[in-house]
Amino acid sequence: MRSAMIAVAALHREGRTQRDTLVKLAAVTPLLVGAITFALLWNGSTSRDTVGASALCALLLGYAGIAPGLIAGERERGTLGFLARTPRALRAAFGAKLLALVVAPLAIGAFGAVCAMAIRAAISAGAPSAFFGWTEGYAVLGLLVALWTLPLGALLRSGLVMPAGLLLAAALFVPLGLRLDAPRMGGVRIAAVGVVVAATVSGWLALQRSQRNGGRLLQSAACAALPLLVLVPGLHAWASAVASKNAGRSIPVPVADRTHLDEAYLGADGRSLYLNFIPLGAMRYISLVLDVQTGEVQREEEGSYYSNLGVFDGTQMISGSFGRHSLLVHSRSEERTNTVFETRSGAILGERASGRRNSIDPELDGWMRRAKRETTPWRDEHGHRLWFHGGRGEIETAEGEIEVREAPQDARFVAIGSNIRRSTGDSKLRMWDHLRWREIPKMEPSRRYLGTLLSGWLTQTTGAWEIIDPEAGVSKLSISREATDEDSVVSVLPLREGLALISTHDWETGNGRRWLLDPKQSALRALAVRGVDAQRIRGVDHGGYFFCEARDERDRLLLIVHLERAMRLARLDVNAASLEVLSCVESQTGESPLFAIATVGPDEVLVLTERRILRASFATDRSTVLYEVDQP
Amino acid sequence: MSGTTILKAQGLELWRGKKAVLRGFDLELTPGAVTVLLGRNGGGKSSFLRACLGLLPWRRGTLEVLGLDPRRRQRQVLEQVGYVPDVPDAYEWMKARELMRFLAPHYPSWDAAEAERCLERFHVPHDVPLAGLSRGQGALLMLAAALAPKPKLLLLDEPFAGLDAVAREEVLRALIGALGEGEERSVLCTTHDLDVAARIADRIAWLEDGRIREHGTLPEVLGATDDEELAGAPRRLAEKFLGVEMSSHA
Repeated sequence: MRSAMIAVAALHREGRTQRDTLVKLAAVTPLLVGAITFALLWNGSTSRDTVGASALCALLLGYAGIAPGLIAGERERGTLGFLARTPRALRAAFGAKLLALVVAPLAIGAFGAVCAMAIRAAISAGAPSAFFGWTEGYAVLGLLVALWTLPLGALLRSGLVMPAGLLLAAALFVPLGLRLDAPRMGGVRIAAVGVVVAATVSGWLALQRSQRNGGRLLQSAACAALPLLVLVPGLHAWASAVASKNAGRSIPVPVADRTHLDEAYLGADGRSLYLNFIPLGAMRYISLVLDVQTGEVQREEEGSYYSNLGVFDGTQMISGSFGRHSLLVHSRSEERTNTVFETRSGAILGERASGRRNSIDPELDGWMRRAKRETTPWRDEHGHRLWFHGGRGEIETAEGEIEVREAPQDARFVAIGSNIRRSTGDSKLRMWDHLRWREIPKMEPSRRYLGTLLSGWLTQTTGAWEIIDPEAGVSKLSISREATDEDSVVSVLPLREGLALISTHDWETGNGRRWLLDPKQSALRALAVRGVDAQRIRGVDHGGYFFCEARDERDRLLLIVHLERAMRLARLDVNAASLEVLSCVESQTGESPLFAIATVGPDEVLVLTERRILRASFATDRSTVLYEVDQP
Repeated sequence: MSGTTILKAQGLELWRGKKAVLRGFDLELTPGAVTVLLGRNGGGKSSFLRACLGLLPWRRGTLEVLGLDPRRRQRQVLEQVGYVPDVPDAYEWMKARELMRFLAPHYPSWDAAEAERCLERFHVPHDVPLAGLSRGQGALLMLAAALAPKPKLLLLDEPFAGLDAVAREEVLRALIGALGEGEERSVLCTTHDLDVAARIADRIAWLEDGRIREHGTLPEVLGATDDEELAGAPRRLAEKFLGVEMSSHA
């Protein structure tokens, strides 16, 4: 009871002492937020940017305003002696100061966010959405710097405390950053906790010794530095351990922070995942084979990559059509050689061919043509098989011969999505949909190409979506009133049911929706979302990129959706137009877009993003990170 | 209280920076007496009081306050010892009632009625922040705050320093009044004001060159045998300790 009363007294005293500062900060915050909001809006930023930036700046303003005066201010006012000679007051005061260091800037930050939202609402009709995702890292960094103001406040003048805190944090983190190159998130959390604990202990020791020694700088500084002496070698030892452990799992290239997954092929055994990473700027692939069961990684030498020849017996997850294949090529850029592996039932049976690229290309060409012919799902109106090979369209004639369709002189083939080739010229657009060339009429008003459906092209004009079928003409989709002019289609996934799953995104509000489109009926249905609060679906679904289908045992499509900055597994019942949100695969997805998923077990899927590969269960909430490009 | 040492220092050596302010310092307080620690400015009087509160470490010797080592049992010492600083060191925004409300939970023996009584007796305004009080009122507020927990030992660190004559008289009378009533309380008061020392001291301790040169009752220190000799105590103290020849009218 007495302790509680002491704590209350300390909190009241701290609050009253900081009252004037808080009032001044509260007065300055709307001005700061107003300046930021208008500056960002003039630069074309969205409302969520202005709110996030305003909240962060207000938070940092709060830190800068509160932190230096917490202990240094007491010294300068001469009130530290009063606390020190009052029994139990110094300890309680320290606790109150720690609390003030966290709560007061948060309150200022929240006030800044409210101000930003109010300003945004006042100058636009739409209600702005709060979005703080990108601010969190900076907020935590600000707190870590501010925490060092506690020990420094016992040693230095208040005006010097914040700059010294920045220098100290830099001295601590820069060598750590250089050592780690790209620490994992778990490690960063450990480091952050270590820094918080060390800063707090340092602050307490420095404060106590500062009092006991009558302000003798050397002893006080030694006490403040003591936890650092433990922390710094500890963090660096940890960094070394992580760096050593990750030696085989990370990508040690100077541009690792921009390295991303480019291609992935899953063996038919559901176990071997062949991955190509591209470090941007380096222009050289890095290839790995990941065992999705054990997480073991076998890294190939730099400059090598896997490429799908269309004959790989497994599932190609990224950059191409899904299907069954039986060959895998491993190319080595340095040596300019290719090695072709034959894979049957997921197992690599052995090298099929190897040599310099030009010498084995003819053999590969034969393998590829044969495999594509065998695996193509397409037929023309006469039942003849169609496929693409070598940048040309090929049709098997009734006599078993192959008729090649070359691209016109003034056009070139460009791969779009998975099942379409487009040739573009100066004045016309031709598209090949595996059946025939179609010349697209000059589109007025201008249309935006959204995606390819089985019998036409999905385009968007102002306020409407259209399906262009050169034979059936242009059919307008009746967009329900839930879709607005601002909705943009971010992905189109043709489904084997003949429908298409469409993800839309409103860039202004951040809202996202999913739709089922029936091109034949020109009917559009918004998906009913189950498993989450209906309110929460707004502003959260950013869609994704789909190049393959993952289905459960009842043929329901497995998807990943982004809900409130978390990546969640979902199951789509196409017939019922119902999307059931199952579990959270990963929170804090950051900005890494989703690439693909594939089933690898009775109730498990493999989720690939640009930088991470996860194994997730849709029966439970569990997910395991199998591999990740180390975060910067 | 009987059997417990009020305050006892033996062979104390205390440094501030590169200077030894106390060296071979011995002092033992008599229970229930007002002891005045006299000495020149910068002689180590305030440092000794801060050491008694566990706020300053010492290098050698022993120091016991109420039978406790202030360095190891600082909280218990602080709870039983009242302290009045030379300059009011509480928050400037604190009014008398706010100060008492803040201090109350920190002292197990806090007596709210006593706090109120002291404020009334010392005529300290209740609703004026410390910054708005006169220097004398500020000192009286600190004295009231120190007396409210009914401390067994009261440490006064030059409470009259910087006060004008009127304020000094006001604080001095309040102090004498407070000491004269209630339970027996030991007091150690540091000052270089010989007049104050002569008026309140039961015992005088003279601090010079970091050690106690003389310690005893006022008659013992002055070698006085009658009241007439004691009447000129300030002058005689000055002559004895400062070597200053003062006229009898001074």
